[in-house]
Amino acid sequence: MTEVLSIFFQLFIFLVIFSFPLTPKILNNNFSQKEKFNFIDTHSINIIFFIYICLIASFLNFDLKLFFKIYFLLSLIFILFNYKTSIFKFNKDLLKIFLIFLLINISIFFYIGQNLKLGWDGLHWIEKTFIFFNNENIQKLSEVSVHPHYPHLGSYLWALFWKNSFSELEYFGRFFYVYFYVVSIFLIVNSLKLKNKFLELSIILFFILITFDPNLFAGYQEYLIFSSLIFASRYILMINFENKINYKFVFLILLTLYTNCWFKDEGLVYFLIFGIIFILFLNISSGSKVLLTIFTISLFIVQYFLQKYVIGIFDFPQKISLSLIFSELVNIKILLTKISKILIHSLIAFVKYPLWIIILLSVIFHFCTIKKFNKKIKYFLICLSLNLLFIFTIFFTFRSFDFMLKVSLDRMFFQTSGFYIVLILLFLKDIKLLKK
Amino acid sequence: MQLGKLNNKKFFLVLLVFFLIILKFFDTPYNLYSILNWNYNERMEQKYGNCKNESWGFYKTISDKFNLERDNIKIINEEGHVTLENLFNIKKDNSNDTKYFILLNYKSKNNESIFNGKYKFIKNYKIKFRENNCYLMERND
Repeated sequence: MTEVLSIFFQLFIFLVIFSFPLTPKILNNNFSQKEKFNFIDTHSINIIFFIYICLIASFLNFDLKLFFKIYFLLSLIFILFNYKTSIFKFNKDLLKIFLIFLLINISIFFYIGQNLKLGWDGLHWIEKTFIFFNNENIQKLSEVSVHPHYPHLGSYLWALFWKNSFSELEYFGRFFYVYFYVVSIFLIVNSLKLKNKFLELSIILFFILITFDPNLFAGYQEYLIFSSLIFASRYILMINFENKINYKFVFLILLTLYTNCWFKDEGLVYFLIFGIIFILFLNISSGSKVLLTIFTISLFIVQYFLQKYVIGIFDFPQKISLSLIFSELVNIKILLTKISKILIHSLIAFVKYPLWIIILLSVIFHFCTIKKFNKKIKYFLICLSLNLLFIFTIFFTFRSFDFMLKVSLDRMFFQTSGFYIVLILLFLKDIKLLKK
Repeated sequence: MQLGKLNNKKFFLVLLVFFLIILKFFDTPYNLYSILNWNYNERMEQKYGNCKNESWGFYKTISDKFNLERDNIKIINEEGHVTLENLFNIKKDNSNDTKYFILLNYKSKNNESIFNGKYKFIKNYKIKFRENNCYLMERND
């Protein structure tokens, strides 16, 4: 019974700490966007804020318990002072959505509580988690047995919530991944601003049912990238590329994308692709675009220096031999074999994660039904093309090609699929299926 | 029935249907029952096995009995399952002269002793703790 109560309490903790330090009122006053921030938008930005605080805390070797107690206490005080605008104050419609939100979270928490087994990757990520859990120095990350160069933020979050859970059990640390994921689905569907709550709930449930993969909650980091990309896509949806841009918003989007660099190595590629194309699409002067691009690249350099000189290791798991790639490119037999294998495994991945099928169908329907794309759709389509090109290229260069296709292509597809949910929603909007 | 014009009673029914779908999809009642019925260690053992599969139960027993966190330990799971050193903060080492050696799910024929099996280096070790076919061995000083 204590464990069950602890699970409920963990959900309460998430609700409290992610209601701090921003409220819709604060955000709307500061960003002065045409489209206003609501509770779920604010909640998501608070999560991004918290992730950055954790990133900083991880380098400062703060005691996990002390750090958490301070943050939780500040959040509680903040809610008490801002009760009227906090997430705990609802109208009737919101309450119905909120109940489903709670139920989905609790159900997945129980699911993990019963299916405790960690996946292969999870059993290695936990090595890093233990370093933080034991309040050891961050430099020890460079000594772990498998992939020491992988970013550590996911492991830090895992350790933080594990250490500060009521029962202090390992799987409580992974609840953050669940909460992050569920918030992201609610966030993206909420962006439709549907008045029909039944329809909204149906769409939420649909996306949950087709994107829930319990194996990926077994210590894998894929959901962190998946969810943060959904967050970023939601904020991008709020932008009107034709108008003058609020720079605070641009930084919010770039910083949301930047979190990917700290979850997994490939997150860096997503950050650079999605971030730089985003900058190019903005309605700003060329000089500003150059400055923003420099800012984006400098964020990568910051990561490089922190990993190389503070943690003591910066590397990528796969060494690419250009001469080998070139020799394979000119050999038609190898080229065709590799392309066909990648295509076959891509199809398998699409069946495993059917969200991709729906995304691709939406793209096809976009091309068939809409003659002129707006800038938003163009942006996501270009990202999609480059994303697929990246996946094809990176797998082409892998030395253990067949093995990697079997164990990681599907997960790579899954990671970024969240970013393109907007294509489905924009399509539904365009064909006027979703009447507000 | 128009989707946009559900009154409160109908919406309550729809909400109930959603609740049931979610509970069924995530198997929530059973998961709740399981968490209430078996404690964390029991559930871990159900998933990983005591002295079978990954043998989580054996790791747990020897970790509680002996202080293994300080030493490098060679670990072999004869069934080929992934080893769980990271779950117990144990440092795995593949060399043949570690202070401790954990052998899990050892497969032997007839009355063959573990010391006459395929691991030659095992002669340098003595059995410190055994449960079925799982062994914690300590190097002879």
